[in-house]
Amino acid sequence: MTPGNFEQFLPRLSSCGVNYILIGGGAAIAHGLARATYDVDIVYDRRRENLESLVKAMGELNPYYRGAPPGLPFRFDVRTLELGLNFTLTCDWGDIDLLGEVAGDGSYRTLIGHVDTIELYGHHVAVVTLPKLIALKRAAGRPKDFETLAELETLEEERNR
Amino acid sequence: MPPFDPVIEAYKVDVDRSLLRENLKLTPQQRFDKFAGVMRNLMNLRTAGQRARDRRSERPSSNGTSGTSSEPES
Repeated sequence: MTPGNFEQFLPRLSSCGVNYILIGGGAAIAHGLARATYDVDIVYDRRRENLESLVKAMGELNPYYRGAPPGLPFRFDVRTLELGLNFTLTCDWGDIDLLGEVAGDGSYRTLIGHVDTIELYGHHVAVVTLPKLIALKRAAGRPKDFETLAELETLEEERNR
Repeated sequence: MPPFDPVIEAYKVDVDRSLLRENLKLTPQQRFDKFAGVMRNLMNLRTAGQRARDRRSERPSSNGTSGTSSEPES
């Protein structure tokens, strides 16, 4: 298990022109949470042009289904992305979740109205806002998120003090 | 404000606010740099722990068996 590799993934996605929104642990860190995370979570735009950019950005990194047995006929191309929605992948740079949609009405088109544009690693990165991140976590309703939710809500209280 | 949830409120009691306040003083990039440093240290610790466990299991015990052998002693 390796730490979330934001340092490499974010500049690569941005420089390849991928439309994406940073969510999950990465967004939490951007807003000020001190928490370990082992993957990069992004919601990506499902339009074909963007899928092509995503393939350009990720194709050379040998992406493969995380936890799947080796040898599956997985091809990271536009057709695969069109046929699927959410991809939990491991690749040469570590783990990344490419999410077409998340619980709580979280597609790229709906979430893009709830982002902060933040300068990271020399690029402007769309990061889901803290209130929306809290709403997404609540919508997911996973017990494993309770502690994180408490921290995120406390963070919001501290920011608004 | 998010709706009140008694479960989340219970978890909030244990949140270290001083840590959050310190982080809020940093820029987002500085927060990521801090994360990378902390994770690097964690990984180093994990590697060191694994090496120590490996060494222990390789070291012969006083009766000549491996340190982690589950063989019953005669």
